[in-house]
Amino acid sequence: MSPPRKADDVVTELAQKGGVIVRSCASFPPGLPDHYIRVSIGEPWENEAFIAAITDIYQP
Amino acid sequence: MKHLIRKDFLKEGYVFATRAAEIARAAGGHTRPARLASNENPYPPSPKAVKAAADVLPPHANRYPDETNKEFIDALKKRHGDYRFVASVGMDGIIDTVIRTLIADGDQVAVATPTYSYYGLAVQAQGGTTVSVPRKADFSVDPEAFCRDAAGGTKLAFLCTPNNPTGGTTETPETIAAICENYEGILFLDCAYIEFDGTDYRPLMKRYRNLIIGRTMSKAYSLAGLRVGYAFVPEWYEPIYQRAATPPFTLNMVSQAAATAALRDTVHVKKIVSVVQEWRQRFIDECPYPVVPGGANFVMVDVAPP
Repeated sequence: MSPPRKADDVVTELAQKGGVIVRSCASFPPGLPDHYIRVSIGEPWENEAFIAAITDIYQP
Repeated sequence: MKHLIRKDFLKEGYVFATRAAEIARAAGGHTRPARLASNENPYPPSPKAVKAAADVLPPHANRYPDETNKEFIDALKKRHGDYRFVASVGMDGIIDTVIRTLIADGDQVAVATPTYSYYGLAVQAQGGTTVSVPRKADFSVDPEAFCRDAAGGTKLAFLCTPNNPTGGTTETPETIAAICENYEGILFLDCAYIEFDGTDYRPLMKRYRNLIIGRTMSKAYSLAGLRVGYAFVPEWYEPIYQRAATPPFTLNMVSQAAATAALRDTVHVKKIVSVVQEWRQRFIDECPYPVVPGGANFVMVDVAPP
């Protein structure tokens, strides 16, 4: 099993590989572990791009 | 000259969601990135709002705007009913003004965390300090625990629902009522995203004198660029808020006109909310990582392996 992923790393990967800009929740302390990202609902093409990019980088 | 500056303003300020945008630009190849970091509405505002804004500008821009925001307030009363309203430059303007009426050096403010970071910054700017009131593991709020943790001298409490950034359970009106009953300070309920959920807290304004409900035209109404926020306030508090509202003019005439027309176009906003809700469900269904379901125009995703 892979080590737990950090929100900031996933944000960078989504941006670089998929051109998808989401927000790391690491800037919402206190009390939120650093493995959450916040994703807004966008235009259909943006939403499709997110689903494709997050599926692409998924590591079970 | 920095020694002249108040220490609260030498700390880090608000964190904008720009870092990822810089990364995408630096990576190149993504000339048109998908902008899903700021909870913006991707759809344009009502065409009626755009027309109203354009119409008001050429003939009237030499005059000051209506300082009472009367047209917009009247539209709010028509839309929501006979409540007391105040308007400001985004809900952030309301938050600032409310804090100014209540908080001075050393005063304490409770904040249900984790949540939107601006509450804390605005409190600090007024010399106050925040007391963190942790949410439960599912990010919902237990009213008993909230009142217990917020007791002991906080004058004001911030609770965001649906909560930014966690989403999760939207608090029921009964939960909010239980807090209003037992909390001795003023509860500021931040409902920036409530149109995407539909929970109705408005009747609580008739029952409680310590409740302020903040709303915005930035999300469901697609007017983030025009900065219009408003709040339901208790009758006794309205004149106090008005006295504290500085600078003397809040909404400009373009914002007033656009917000008034947008509020009246209920068909447009309903359509947008319905599209957002459909996509929210698709995110929940199709994202391979666990998604915290919620009632806003965003979802929070847990990217640690399941």
